[in-house]
Amino acid sequence: MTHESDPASRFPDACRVWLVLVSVCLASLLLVGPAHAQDGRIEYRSLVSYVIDGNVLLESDVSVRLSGLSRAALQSGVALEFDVEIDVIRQRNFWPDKTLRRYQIPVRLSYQDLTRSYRLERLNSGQRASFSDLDSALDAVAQLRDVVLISEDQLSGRGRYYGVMRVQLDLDALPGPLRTQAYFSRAWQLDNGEQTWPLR
Amino acid sequence: MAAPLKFFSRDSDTGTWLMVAVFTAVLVSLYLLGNSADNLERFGRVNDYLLIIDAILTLVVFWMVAVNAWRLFGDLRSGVAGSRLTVRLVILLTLTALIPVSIIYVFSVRFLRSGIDSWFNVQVEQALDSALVLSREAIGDEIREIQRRATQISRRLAEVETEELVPALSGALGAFNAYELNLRGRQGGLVLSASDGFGFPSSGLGASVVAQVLSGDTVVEIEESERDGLMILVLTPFLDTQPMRDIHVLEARFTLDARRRQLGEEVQSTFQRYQQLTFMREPLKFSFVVTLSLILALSVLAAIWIAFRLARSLMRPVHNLAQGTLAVSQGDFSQRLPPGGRDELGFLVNSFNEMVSQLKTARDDADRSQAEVEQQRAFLQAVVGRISTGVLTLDDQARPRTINTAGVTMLGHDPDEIIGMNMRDAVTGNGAYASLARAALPHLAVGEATWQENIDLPTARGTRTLVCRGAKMDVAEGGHVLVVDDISPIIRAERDAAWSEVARRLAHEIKNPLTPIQLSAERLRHRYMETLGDDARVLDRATRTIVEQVESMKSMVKAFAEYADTPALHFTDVDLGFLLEDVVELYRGVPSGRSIEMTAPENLPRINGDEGRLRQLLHNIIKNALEAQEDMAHSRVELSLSVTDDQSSVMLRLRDHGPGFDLGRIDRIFEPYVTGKTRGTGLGLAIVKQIVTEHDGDIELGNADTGGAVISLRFPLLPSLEKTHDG
Repeated sequence: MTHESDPASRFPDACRVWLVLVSVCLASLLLVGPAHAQDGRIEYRSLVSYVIDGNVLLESDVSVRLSGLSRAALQSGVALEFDVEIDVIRQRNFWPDKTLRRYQIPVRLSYQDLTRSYRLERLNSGQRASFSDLDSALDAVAQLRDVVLISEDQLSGRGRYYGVMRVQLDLDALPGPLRTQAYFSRAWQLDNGEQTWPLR
Repeated sequence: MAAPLKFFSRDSDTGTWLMVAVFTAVLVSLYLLGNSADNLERFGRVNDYLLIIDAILTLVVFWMVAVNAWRLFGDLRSGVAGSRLTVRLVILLTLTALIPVSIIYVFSVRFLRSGIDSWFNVQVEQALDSALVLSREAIGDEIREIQRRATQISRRLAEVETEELVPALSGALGAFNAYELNLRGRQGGLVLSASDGFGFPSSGLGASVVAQVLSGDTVVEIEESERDGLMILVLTPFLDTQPMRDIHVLEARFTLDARRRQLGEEVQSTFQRYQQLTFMREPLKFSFVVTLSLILALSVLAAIWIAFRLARSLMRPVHNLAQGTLAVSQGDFSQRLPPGGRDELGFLVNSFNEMVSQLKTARDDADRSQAEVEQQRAFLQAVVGRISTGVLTLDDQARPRTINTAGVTMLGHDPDEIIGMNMRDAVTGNGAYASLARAALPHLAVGEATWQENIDLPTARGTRTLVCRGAKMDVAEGGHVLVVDDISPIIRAERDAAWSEVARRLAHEIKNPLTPIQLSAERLRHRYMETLGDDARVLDRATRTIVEQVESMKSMVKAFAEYADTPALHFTDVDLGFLLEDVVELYRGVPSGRSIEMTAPENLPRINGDEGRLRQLLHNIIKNALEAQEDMAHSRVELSLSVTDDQSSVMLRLRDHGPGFDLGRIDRIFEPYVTGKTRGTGLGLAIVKQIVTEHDGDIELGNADTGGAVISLRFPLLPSLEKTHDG
């Protein structure tokens, strides 16, 4: 680390600001389009529902991979927050589908320099876990076991029932300076998408 | 009059308030930016709002600048007065604001960057690294101590009898300062458990971990506890000395030393914050510069907008003066400029308004005078146009400039033929204008101030006598005015009056001795007729002759008396067709060889006239026509009645097939004793003329192309007041 910044990059930085201001609209337009292959991505490996004691349970196996920049930010002490969202939906003909249940699980991932471990914390329950490596921690972000989604009785109506899971990185939870950059940078955009699976 | 001109109005208050809002926003933004620069979390909260608000305001001000620029560009293209100067002022004011702001911006960015860079220091970073390493070492030492304690617990409990195992486990919990102690079987199942906390017992262990422990290894893991934070888990082999017990793994959990843990977490927190700042140094600079640039853009745009308003405000009086001057040049004196301020331009505006007011008063006076002159001229023109005297004005080259209606009628020329035609060019020609030119030119040539000439114009209806008086006009452009009077009716009236007087005197002087002469002749005849013998025949012839001639003279005197003494007239509505048929009927009993034909339309309008006099008129003209054809084997008279095209008169036209009028004497045909016949008094047509005049009519005499006389009589249809005329 140095005290002096690179002289060559000092003035162009000011000029670049103007370019950014002018191209904000174009950049935002580009971001609206479909995301392509990125460093960061989310892969829904397995989403399985089963019935135990009259309740429909979920077991999920979701792989989250961060981009290099996100990893660096995490290693530098920036906590990342993920939003895990699960919907139980009833499909209807000639009518918009009806959401029967919605679960939102905010999960914070942080790096602990003291113990060289990664801490995972579910913010709505306070549940914590430590992981010695990042990939294990990321795999646990949306890994759910025996989570009760809904009572089986509520799926007795006609029609098809299915679940939808969405996992996304919450950019609003980033620190201010990073947030501004994250809105316009693909390095912070996770190809999250969503995954559906049948419930009945 | 040109359309009302558009003056610059004062700028609206809305714009002023918006400007105040923009500058308040700029100041607040700069204050917040400056205050949040030293606090990352505060900057994160404030920066988003700053960006959004400043971006919106920037767009609003940019739009207003664009509108002003577009309007100014339109003014420039339209050549609006003052627009070029406004452009210059806007550029100057903008540059005045832009140059210092740009310099300050560049230096602000530099200071900002160097200020952020100054947050980071190699020594601080190294110290933090060292502190973290130290903390790790301290925790590592504690973990090793914990591991040692776990091994001791495992050994001690392995030697305890089964019955004593539960209290021994609880005792070990306190003796070794453990949080939780679990004894597990070969498969990892929980056999016995003791805990210092109130949580639920731990769940099962993974098979791989159990296998690793069973192989003789000690596994140490760091756990996160919801209640107690960091916790050290030690899994160590349980080398049981008692047979028949399925206890192979000791699972021990220990909390870290509170003080050590707190210090370690503080070190970690500080280290992570520093690491975070280091990582976010460039994004932080970028965010600061973006926000600062946005504020600068807002400031610059606001400055440009103010430049527009200032330039417009400064140029308003100039523009209005230019517009006002243009209006005055177009003759519009009604425009008033908006009142100016108290400066020199305001004084100029007020002076301009005063000047325009005075100009308007002067022009109104001039317009009024001109209107009066025009009115007088129109009045004179109307008078001149309606008088019976012909009036011509000539320029200094003897070319007619104007001629009134009476002049046109007298000269019988189309005005276009003579207006502008030099009299010298017309002098050799024929017609009234040529006669006038011949009479006037000698006087015009010598430049007489006033002169008079009589002009006799031969026409189809006789000779017309015109009196022409000329006068030189005393005007700058020179010229003459000619006044022409047709005195033919006056001459004719004088002549008629003279003849009437003659007739009256003749009748008076001759009538008196005729009766004594006749009586004397009859007495002579009566006394000496029987006594004279042979001479009686002579006497008889002589006295008969005297008596016959006296009778004849009496008839003549009677005719003269009728001519001289017009009877009182009694005007009534007269059906001229019926009257004519009545008169004609009297002549239809005449010998064969004569024919009288009459045509008249149905529903002929009545005229206002004296039936007795009209009857006399009809007798005279029919008798005159018949007498003119007396020597011919076949005589024919054609009479026709009609209404004129303009529906103003009834026309009576008579035509005979006699020798016609002697055109050489036609201008005196209405005088007594003027006749083409061997017999008669020559008073017939004179009386006809007299009766026509009494009825405001006209009479024209002429000859038909195929021979024979033609008399045309016109009687007006317009109802006239009942007139009485005492002859």
